[in-house]
Amino acid sequence: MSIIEVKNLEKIYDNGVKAVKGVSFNVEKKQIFGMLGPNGAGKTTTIKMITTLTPITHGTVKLSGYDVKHDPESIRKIIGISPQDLSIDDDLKGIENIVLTGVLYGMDKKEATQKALELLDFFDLTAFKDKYAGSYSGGMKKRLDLACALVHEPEVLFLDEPTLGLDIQTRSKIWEYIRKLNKEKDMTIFLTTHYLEEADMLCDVVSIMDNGKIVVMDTPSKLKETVGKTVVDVSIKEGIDQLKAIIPSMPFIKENHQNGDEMRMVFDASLDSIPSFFEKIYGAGIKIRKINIKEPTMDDVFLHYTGSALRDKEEKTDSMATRRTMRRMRA
Amino acid sequence: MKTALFELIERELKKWYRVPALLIVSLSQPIIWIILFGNAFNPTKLFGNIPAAEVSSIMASEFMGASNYISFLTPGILSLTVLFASFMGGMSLLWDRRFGFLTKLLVSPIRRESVFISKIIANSIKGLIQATIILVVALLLPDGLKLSSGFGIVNLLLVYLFLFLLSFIFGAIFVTLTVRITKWETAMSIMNLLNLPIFFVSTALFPATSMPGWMKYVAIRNPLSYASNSIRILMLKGALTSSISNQILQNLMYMGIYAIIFLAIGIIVAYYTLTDTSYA
Repeated sequence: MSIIEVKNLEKIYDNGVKAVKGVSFNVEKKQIFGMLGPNGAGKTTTIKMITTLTPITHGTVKLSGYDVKHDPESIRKIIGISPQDLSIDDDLKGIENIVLTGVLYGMDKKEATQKALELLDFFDLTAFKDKYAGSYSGGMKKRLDLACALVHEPEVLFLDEPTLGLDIQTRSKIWEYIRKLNKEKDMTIFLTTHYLEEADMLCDVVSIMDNGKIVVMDTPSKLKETVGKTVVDVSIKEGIDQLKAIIPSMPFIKENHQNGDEMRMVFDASLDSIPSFFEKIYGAGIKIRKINIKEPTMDDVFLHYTGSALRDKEEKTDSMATRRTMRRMRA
Repeated sequence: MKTALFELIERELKKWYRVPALLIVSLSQPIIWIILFGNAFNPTKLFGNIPAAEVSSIMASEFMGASNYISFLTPGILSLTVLFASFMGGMSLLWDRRFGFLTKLLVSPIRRESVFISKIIANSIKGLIQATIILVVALLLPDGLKLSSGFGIVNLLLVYLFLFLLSFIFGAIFVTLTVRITKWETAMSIMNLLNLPIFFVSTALFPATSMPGWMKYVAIRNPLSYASNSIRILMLKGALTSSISNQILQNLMYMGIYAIIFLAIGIIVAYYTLTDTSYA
């Protein structure tokens, strides 16, 4: 069942900028749906429209049956958001941040406190609950922000660039939490990212957005498969001629080039091509000195569909600068 | 929803009382005004040796019969304290936007207006607490504020009512401004620009008699003047005779009208602006 239905969504800002140019997609229940694209592609604007933060110019968005245009109040009650820039109050304690958020969602204080303790535990923040959020590290702040977004048990969680600016360990930790939320709490998660491996690791479905449009949408493995080429380089110790002889019997090898005792082969991206290649090789008694396999990545997918590597679009320099300053101040 | 509003007000107050330095700094300015300006600009001593009889007749006719300038100045400074507190309230909305907290408020199902109203109410509470401390300081100063013998509990409550209305008016004005302004540099300069004229074109520091006609015209209609004058009457005249009561009631009515107008404008602006965060 689709929990989010977006049809022909468009956003034209007051200054005439067309940020989103007719986007349609569905997100199924319990899915992790990823929106991938460079800065300025329209991801954040799309999230803002779905989450009632900015009016829709054209098109419709339905969330769990409610229409965003006509019933924003009902939508706000069933979604949780962790925006790109943190939304916690540094001057409040960790637990106070969560309780306050709970009360904003109509919970009474006791209920919100109960839930806050539970969430602090889930995100391993219990030891820091009475510390001011301002003293938290970047990763802890992000976790606290996630905890706040979850206090009212939303049906859908929106994460706008959840790991932007975090170090590698913190990033994989956040991924772990996101997966855990999805698995243990059956939560539908909508995330935007411009980290390709993040989309690859986490998402059930990935849509690639560029210039205000969705250019392609599929599962990460299918996407890689459609553009994918697996390049296999082997250096042969013994039996280069046998190898040459059996290549025609392997239809998944599209091209091959020999260079002395080295052979470069281009495979199609079908999942079983690599194992069957090895079976054949061992069967023929060929001895390999070295092998190098390069599988298609989300980079290749991105490159294929947008015609360019993932790059940062020119953002309003002013807001970029401010955001950077703010991050520095919070750090 | 009532608890949400209450919780938001509590948040503002927590952010304030947990940083005592902030309270001390915000108190120091009005106290400096009273002590330094009040002593330096004592009109009874400004022109050398004026016979005592003439001094008291000037004080009676121009300074509402205050026994010294500090007694005349303090009600103005109390109003000023509330003005400064409102100014800070406006800035706090700006910080909420800059630090992303506003987003949290806007994605939650609370009413858009409660963001605005919580700021104004928190402001008033802060302003009134600061004013109370300053009132006590003014009373304790040697040769400080001298209340009329007829000053009673009703007078005191009315003083607070005027300060409360004043903080509501300026709170509404400043928060409305910062609802639309996104850069704090812009807000800062606009507010500084507004602060001085509001302050000087009023009767907070001196009576309006010495002002040129146009200035007087504006000054007597300034909410800051209504509040300062009314508090002066309440503190210096004491007993609430029928003519004084009428004067006070009239001033209350004007202040009430200002409060309703600016609150209404603020709520409308807040509602429309906060519905579309592309302004944020």
